[in-house]
Amino acid sequence: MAQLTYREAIARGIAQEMRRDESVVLIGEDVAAAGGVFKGTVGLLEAFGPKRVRDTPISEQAILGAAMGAAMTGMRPIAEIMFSDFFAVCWDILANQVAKSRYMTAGQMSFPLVVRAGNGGGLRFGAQHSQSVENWMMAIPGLKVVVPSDARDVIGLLAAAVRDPDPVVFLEQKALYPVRSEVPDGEIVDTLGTATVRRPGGDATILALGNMTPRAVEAADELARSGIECTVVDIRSLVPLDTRTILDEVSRTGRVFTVEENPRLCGWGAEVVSIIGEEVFWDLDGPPVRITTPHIPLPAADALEDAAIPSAERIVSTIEKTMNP
Amino acid sequence: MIVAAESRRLNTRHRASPRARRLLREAGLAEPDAPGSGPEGRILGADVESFIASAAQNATASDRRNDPAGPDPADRPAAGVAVFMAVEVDFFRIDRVRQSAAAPLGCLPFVARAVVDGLAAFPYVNAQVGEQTVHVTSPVHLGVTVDSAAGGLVTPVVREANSLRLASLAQRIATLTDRAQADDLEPADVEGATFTVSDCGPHGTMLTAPVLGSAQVAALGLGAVRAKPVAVVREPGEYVVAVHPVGTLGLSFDQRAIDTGYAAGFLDRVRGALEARDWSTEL
Amino acid sequence: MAARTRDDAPVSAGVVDVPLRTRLALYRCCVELRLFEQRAYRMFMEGLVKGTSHLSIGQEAIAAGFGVAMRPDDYTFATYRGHAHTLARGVPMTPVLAELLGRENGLMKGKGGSMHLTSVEHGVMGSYAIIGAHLPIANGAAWSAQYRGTDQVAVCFFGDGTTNIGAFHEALNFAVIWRLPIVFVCENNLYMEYTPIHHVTAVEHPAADRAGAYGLDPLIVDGNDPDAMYAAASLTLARARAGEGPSLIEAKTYRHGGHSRADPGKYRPDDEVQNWLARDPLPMYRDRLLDIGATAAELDGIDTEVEALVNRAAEEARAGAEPGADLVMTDVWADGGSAWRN
Repeated sequence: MAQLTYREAIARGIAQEMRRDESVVLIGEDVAAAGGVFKGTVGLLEAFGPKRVRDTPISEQAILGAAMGAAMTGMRPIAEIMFSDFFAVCWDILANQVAKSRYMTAGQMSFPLVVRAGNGGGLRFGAQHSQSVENWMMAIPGLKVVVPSDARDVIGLLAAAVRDPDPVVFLEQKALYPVRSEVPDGEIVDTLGTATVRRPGGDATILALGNMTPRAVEAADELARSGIECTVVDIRSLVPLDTRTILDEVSRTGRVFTVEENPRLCGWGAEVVSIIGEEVFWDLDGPPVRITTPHIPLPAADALEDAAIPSAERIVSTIEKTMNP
Repeated sequence: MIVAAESRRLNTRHRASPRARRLLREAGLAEPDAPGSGPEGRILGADVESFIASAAQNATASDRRNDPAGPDPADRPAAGVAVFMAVEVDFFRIDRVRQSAAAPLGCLPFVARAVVDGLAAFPYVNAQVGEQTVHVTSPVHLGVTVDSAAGGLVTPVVREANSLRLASLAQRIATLTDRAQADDLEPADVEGATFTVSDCGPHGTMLTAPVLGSAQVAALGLGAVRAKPVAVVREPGEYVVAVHPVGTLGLSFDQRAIDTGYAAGFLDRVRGALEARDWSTEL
Repeated sequence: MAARTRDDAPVSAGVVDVPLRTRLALYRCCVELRLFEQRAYRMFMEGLVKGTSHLSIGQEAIAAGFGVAMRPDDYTFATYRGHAHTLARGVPMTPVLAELLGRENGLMKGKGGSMHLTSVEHGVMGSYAIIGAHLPIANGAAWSAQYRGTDQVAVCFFGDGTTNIGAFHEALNFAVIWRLPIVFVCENNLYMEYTPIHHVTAVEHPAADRAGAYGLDPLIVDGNDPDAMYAAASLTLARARAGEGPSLIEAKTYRHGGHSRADPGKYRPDDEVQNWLARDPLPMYRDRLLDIGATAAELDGIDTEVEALVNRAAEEARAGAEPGADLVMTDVWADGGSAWRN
């Protein structure tokens, strides 16, 4: 066992896969010599050499295009897009090309690639460097999407993503980079499409993702002091979605709350709540409630950003008011 | 920061949450009148769970016990002490609905449906009598007495009738009737009725006191539905005479299990459902 | 050999050492592309070809020049005007035509359509309908070859309009700094869709005049001369294979038809059109081959064979079944399915 930060886990996960498979390579802006602007890829250039770990110019379309072309001809590239907001700059390659080419060619091409990006807010970077865009990814058929919430999941889900034969968008939560937690030694490989129950509780079910997962757990611990016991489910994988676990945990309690960092409209929780309404309506004891960032760009100042992104306090007060009106 | 949506006016048709409604349905119970613990008196799952637990404990007379093991065949009485009571039912509203159905229905399916709902509110009518016990069944296995091919009467059973709505119930009854007339019934089809309905309408009789099966607490007969003059309230205190289809429901019941007050309450509930419910929603 | 130049007039070939055998192959390829596209046009007018179609009638020499010069394991990346590039790599006509008709025996079983022709087996790594997108992608295939040490080359074809989109510039810069084994071929047919290219471009030669910005030599070639194209192809492919990095070719040509089948091309001046029709590559090349020793019988033989091929392909394509509805849900993922949940 070791204590590892989320950011250290990124390098460890990439290294684990690069050691295992020569066709795994890493490209991105400042990923090699500088070890990444968030220091997530420190040591990889030294370990694997300049042929396998390569810096690129500021050319998001070129970066994703290179990953796609390499993937279709036998390689397993990992491409970094520095901030997930920048997906808007190379959206054509991801949404129109990578996501659709296997389908359009009736299966002639495969794209075993991973695109990782720093996602989410809380660091006062302002509206163009703080977005949570997992819901953009979820909306495009042909992309798999995972969002780990701790160091162990970073390694496990990254390994699963690299080994997956399909394109996977791997969103790292910037706010979690410094968070330290226990990680077992040795190889860690997880499974895409699996959610994890972080905490059991019989009164209500909280569904959370990414940075909202530790906040949901904190809120659940606080709510337990007032006698409201919550299950917290860490969704982890939006596509493929572990609907079985989600629906089981919601049926059990009959009350569901989502905690989403993305803006309100068409957030990932909107889809999940829609599925809940269709498939376990008869187990609901009250309406589903979504706790989200409002439908606004994110402000920069401390107090403003903290008021926008769901906090543990807001989760607690929303659930309390709903369960005990 | 986020403005909470205003809570909408309580939907008066369904005061129970989806979970609560499912639990009620599975237990064969009607929605209780008492408010639940949810917002604005909504009935929640936990409310239904306690309601079921206490309904099982309620007894209508002090010397009766609910024996979960069921009546001992050895202590089945030789004959029930049958009492009979009747009530007139105005089938006016039903008549309009049943004729507009895709395949026109008779009155019997409506009566069967109203009976099933009535039994949910008066569970002791859906019961068997033992020497010392009355056994209340939760599901309603509804016997429907029909003419058999051989010329006598036979009572095939619609199992779990409480889980069927009008259209399905009508279909099940029609299927069983056809099979009875084709002499196509199995022994299993005629066993286990917890309550029986007979449609005597085809014979043209006004009123019939059905014979109770062994151990059966109660049975209902439907007389012929005929056009009759009735008094209809046009304005408060002002009556006019109209011609409506009217039929009689006759209830035979074993007085050892339920008393006249309870039986009358059940009959009134059935009549009320037949006369006042908006049946078009079930078609 | 095509010379470097900044003049307006495209350079014609006078090529010295392309063997006759190769030239006959070039001729044959041009005839295949021409007759196929003409048949596709007729079938579109009959309502059999679905959606839209972008024909390359008049531009055959470019596809043929590279098609004959490339190795079977090289990679082609084309645009939605990609029928010619697909056929030039040896993909049989029937599945290509059937794909245009949306039939199950189509190259992609009717899933992709005219704009996305792909045959990985033949090195046709996709035809791309978003302008410029495939340049960075072609870089990726070239990078992969470089990484794996196979000396394969990627060739990326695009139009003059593409030189003004962001992806073009990102891709060129990227290819040069990574020294990728790739050839970028701009087919300059003088029109960006319906607009003359010189109205919308800051420089005179949309590709060649940008080459210097990326440290590349400008290479202007007569795109209507199969020999010149073959020579330019051989040169740039060899350069890439030797590890000397990317090339950018601007091939001057003209399309005989409109931008797409819906477009009759009336925005082009009549005299311009007539001028270019007079320089139709096929009759010009035929004359040249007769001059250097090919016989009319040989050439007619090729014409007849190809005509028969096209006829058979048309029959087989017409006979193709409509794809079954079960194909709708297949091949989103590598496991052949499309499930997003359990």
